[in-house]
Amino acid sequence: MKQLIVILFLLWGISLQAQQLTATEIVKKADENSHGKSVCSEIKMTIVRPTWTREISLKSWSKGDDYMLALVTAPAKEKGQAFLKRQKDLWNWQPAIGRMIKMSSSVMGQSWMGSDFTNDDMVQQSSSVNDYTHRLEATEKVREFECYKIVLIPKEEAAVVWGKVVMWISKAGFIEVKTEFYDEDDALINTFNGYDVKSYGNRRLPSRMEVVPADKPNQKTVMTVLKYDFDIAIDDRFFSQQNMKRVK
Amino acid sequence: MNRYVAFFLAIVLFPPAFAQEKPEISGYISGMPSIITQQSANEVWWQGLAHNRLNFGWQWAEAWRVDISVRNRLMFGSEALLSPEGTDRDAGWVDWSWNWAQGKQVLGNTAFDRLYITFEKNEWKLQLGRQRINWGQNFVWNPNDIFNTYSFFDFDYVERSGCDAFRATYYHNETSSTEWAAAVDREGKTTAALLHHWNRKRFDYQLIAGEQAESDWVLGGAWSGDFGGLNFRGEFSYFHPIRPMKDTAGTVAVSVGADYIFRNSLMLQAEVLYNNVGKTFSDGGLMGLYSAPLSAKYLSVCDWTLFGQASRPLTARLNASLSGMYFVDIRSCYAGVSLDFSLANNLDLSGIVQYFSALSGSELGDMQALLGFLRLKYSF
Repeated sequence: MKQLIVILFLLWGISLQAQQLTATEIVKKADENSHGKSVCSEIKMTIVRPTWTREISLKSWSKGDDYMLALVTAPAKEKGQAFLKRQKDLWNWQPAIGRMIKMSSSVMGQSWMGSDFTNDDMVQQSSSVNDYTHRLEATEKVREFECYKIVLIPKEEAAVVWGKVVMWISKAGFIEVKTEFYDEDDALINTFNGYDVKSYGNRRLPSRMEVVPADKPNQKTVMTVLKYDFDIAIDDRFFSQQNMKRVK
Repeated sequence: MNRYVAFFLAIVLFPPAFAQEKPEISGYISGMPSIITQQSANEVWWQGLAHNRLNFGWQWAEAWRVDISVRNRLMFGSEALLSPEGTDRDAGWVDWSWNWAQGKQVLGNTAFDRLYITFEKNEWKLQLGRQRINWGQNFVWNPNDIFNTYSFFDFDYVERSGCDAFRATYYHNETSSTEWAAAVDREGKTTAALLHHWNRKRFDYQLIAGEQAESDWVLGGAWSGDFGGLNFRGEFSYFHPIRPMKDTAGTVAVSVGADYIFRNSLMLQAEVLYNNVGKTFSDGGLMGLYSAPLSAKYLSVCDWTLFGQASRPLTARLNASLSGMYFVDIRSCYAGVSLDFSLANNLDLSGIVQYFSALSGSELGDMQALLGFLRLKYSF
């Protein structure tokens, strides 16, 4: 009888473990929720500064972690510029001068077109799943969401902009609700918040995202989702140098 | 020539009923006063420039597209800065440039620098007409840019002129292609070359082979890639006279450059050019640099030239850059400062200063020139 109780107790423990997701699994689920197998999106970005604002419109296509193509559709001066990512290679097409520029990894930490988002945020050259180790630190409430708080530390060999990333992922729906980005000296650089969660097909995702730099709390960049189409049929060949020059 | 005109007129007047998409129109309008002082002339010149660019693009069928760009300029001011002969006839096979106002202190010009049709189907892309064929990979000097040359100092014309050409591109896969292009210049001389471009282990490579203006054979290549965050680029061409092939020396142009962006957004760039042209500064001294070089064969005025640039956004709206060039064999230098301020979404104000000087002991003597520009630009 005693043995049976022990066995039952053990089985109960195992089944509990199965329900308990690891930190990596949680990050993976959040990544899958926001990217799907493929996604086509239209986004409006507003750069807010104390005395002025600037708007950029963007159309982008991505497939998995490896392929991305983004096209700037406004403002007039930058319209037609395109960015192509294939695995770790990155190019920028500048129609005004008829030239394709190979971009180096040192641009990843830089501001994307003057905004508070980095180039890496936009093209996602680093992967929150593959380029970091993950640690579940706590469960915390962020606004109305019960969240897993996960600390991401870049793997040694990974070409990653940040020294540390802290993510709050909702328990329901695996939504990235809040993220803090730290440099190598553990100083907070940027804070990301996802607001106005909406349904896109069977997913729930923030439709308004904000990044606020830690040292300039009176400025921010707001990204508003105009369109999200998930799991569209898209061939790897779409993400080509030929297509980046003609995509609309 | 007339057929070329008729050909494009036919395209533009093509029944719009078949149009899949509406035409796209973009461009900019700018005003730019400038002053120039040159010590040798002991005079101060000034110029006012009103500049408008219109780009018209029309994808009238799945595979067909037409692009037309026109540049309208009204220049007024010191007579010495106006060159009506230079603008009235462009460098292309067909003359697409007209002076419509010409006086002692005024010059009005309209020039079409793009006027071509594109046919693109599957892996093929064919382009015919006035177009920019940009084969350059480096930042300042482009020995592979054999179809259109330009002057680095002409910052107000980033689009650069076009050439009258036919170009066929075949895309082997997502990152590799082969191009064949042939262009005819104003003297009726043909430049024709083949380019092969590919990507391997995070580097882009290209090789070119052809002939330039029926006078030189050209062999060249370039690379561009990432070296631990450092952008590392190089470009080289060898030009050999076609007639006579034997007992003649060739010309070499090699440029190697690198740039790096630091965490604080500071971008440093450096480039070195070797071009065995001897010393070709005689006409116009250093100011001769201002006009576009004759060909990719002559990229500088002496054998060795060094370039460096530092640029950084000082605020989200204000970008500053500082650049310098050193012409080693003639002991002369260039320094430039540029400030770009974004006034509104589509409105930019720029201040640019360019300074050229011969250093002590230079064969150019006591040459100095200072140029200042202020530009207000509205893009649409």
